[in-house]
Amino acid sequence: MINAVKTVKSRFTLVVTVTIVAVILFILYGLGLFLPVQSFGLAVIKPVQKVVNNVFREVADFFSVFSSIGELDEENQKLKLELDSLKSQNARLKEFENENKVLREQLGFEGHDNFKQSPVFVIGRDPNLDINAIMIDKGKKNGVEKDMPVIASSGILVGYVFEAYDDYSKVLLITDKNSVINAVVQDTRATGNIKGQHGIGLLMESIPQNESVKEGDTVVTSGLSGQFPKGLLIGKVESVQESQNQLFKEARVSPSADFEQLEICFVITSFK
Amino acid sequence: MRLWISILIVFFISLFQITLTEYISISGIFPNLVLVLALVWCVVRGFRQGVIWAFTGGLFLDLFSIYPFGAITLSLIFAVVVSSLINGKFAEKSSFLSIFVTCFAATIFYNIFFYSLASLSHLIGFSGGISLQFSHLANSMFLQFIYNLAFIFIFYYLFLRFSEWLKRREHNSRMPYKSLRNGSI
Repeated sequence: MINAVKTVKSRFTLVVTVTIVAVILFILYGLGLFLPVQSFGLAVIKPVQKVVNNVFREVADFFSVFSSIGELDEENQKLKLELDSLKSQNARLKEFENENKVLREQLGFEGHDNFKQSPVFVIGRDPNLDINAIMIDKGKKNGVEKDMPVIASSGILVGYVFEAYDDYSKVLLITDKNSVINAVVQDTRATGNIKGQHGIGLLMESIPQNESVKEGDTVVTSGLSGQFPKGLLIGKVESVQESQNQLFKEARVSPSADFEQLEICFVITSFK
Repeated sequence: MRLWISILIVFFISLFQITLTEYISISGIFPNLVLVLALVWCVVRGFRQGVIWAFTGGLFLDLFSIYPFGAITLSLIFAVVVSSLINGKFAEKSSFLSIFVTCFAATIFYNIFFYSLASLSHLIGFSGGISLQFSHLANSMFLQFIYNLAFIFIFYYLFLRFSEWLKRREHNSRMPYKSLRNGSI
């Protein structure tokens, strides 16, 4: 009987002790006093985590070759066609770019949207369900600051820096439900807010009823908030939901970034 | 088992959770490897060890979480404590039914407690504007329970063998001393 009481007492003491320590850390974090400790902890773990991440990436890449072997030929054909179409589109766009430059010079317009990028590796994901966030391997020491946009190659928006430590940063993806980005439909200039949908997709809300949006339209950042440069690709409209009784309509947007294959991203460290 | 070995095991499982889950997630659902590990160790080696592993694993995961530091740690401790109280009440401690119920309780309690902490930190402004949506979390945690269940049986088998090996080592390391006392050496 005495032993049972002693056991319960010692268990209770252990639970209370660890709980108190965790609560103290929780409060310190909330007050912003824990950041240096967290930065130090992450810096210590970083070398091991990079190695583990690289090993898993190599193994996953190895197995993905076998799993996709049947589709390689078809995908190859599709990509060749897409490449040819993009080459001709690129040539036309270069012409427009040159024409735009000349006209700007003539009219005295200032250039904008030249941005500096810093390449980063994705080294992990947030361990919580229902949070879509990643860890990247650069932080304040590399010029990465909170709220900086993060893009995949070719200017596709991926997310923004939620928290920057000395050697790491945490990036909130645009598909997270806490992410809200002001956007515009490229052709019709209809504006709205892009909200993440639990990691599955995006919803463009608050589109005025009198503005035109249709399936297949390209959605880009508007640049109005100042946090993101104008024209970063977000995705394509999949479907539009409108009701005559509502002030605004909504559109389901399919993100252009492949969030399952994110390995390398770029943090936009400055833009004008 | 020496403390540093425990910390090392928990550290690597936490790292696996951060890096591996993007490769094994199904529709955004992935197993909570640290919770599963702490539960298994609680069943195999006792309450004290399970709580220590939950605490250590929680600290490592909190480093990588976008949520306030300590939220995962507290949730893991709570889940392990509640599950250890339930374990063995419905069936024999190491039976399939007992492990099933324990895993279910741990997954649900962990996510509910984490959601509560997340909401509290959002209310008091600790979370930097990040909040959770309970309806989506509720759907996700039942799917996560199924995923956890698969891993709990794998971990249970592996760590049961590991624990038996440890016990034999501990017993053998005490043997010469016992023999001396008995005068056989």
